[in-house]
Amino acid sequence: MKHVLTGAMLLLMSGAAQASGIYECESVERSKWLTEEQLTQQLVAGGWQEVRRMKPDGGCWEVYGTTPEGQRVEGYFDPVSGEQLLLAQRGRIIFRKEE
Amino acid sequence: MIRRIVDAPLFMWVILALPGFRMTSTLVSGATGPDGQSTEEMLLHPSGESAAQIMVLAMMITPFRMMFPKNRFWAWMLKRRRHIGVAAFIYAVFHTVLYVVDMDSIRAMLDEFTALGIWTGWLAFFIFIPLALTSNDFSVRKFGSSWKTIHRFVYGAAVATLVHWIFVHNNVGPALARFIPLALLEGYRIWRTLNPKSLASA
Repeated sequence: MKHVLTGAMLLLMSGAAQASGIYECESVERSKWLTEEQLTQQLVAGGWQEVRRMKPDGGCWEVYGTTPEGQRVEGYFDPVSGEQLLLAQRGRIIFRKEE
Repeated sequence: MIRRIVDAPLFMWVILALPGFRMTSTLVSGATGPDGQSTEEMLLHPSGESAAQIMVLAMMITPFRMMFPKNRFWAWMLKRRRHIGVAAFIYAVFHTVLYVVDMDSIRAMLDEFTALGIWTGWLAFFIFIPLALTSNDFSVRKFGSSWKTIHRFVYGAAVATLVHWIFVHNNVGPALARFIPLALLEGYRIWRTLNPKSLASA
């Protein structure tokens, strides 16, 4: 009993999985992507209060910032058109583009 | 000599402060993350993770004591359990302060308060406050037998912390990796409590 438990625990503690990607975008070559500056300008023009940073994730631009409504979000955007695909507020999905 | 060093209260505090030393140096240096995270944002996760892990450690002591009653390490840990709990609280305070500084807007904080990943974090933090404030000899004497009852609220804080961790990151793996060992130990503890006779054969 003790050994089974100890073994199970060691196994679990070692296996902290890394997974990301709440949203997947179609893969498009990087040269066709909007630059960070272009997407930032587009968002600010659309009323975003702040664009803190962005990084590519799942083939999309993943943006951290504050929406026009003042919500701190993590947003997924089409890397070519800059279309808003998903907004998550601390893990709570507050917007998802209809398929 | 070694024994005296190990048994000194300062020794435990230094060990518990180790993750804090690294975080403090990051804070002081004002380093930013590889993806452009601010210093506060970079420290947000490690501070919360330290709080959760140290809380889990404190909660593991009793079941480990049941499993290995003669083990001197767990007896030594039991004597320092309140220190460990207070350390978890200090990391939780740091975590909460970083969150508030990083948000920099009461309105934005209220707006996301209802997100499952957020209010559970606040709940865990507010449960921690009375537990930390009563983690001293004076309170143990003052509250007598109800002290244990008060401190059983840590189970509520643990569940809230687990839900907070999972939902704020939308990721189950890392949180479960820390909490399943505790759940297994608690399962063992319940099993042992229900089957006291198995003690002889264990």
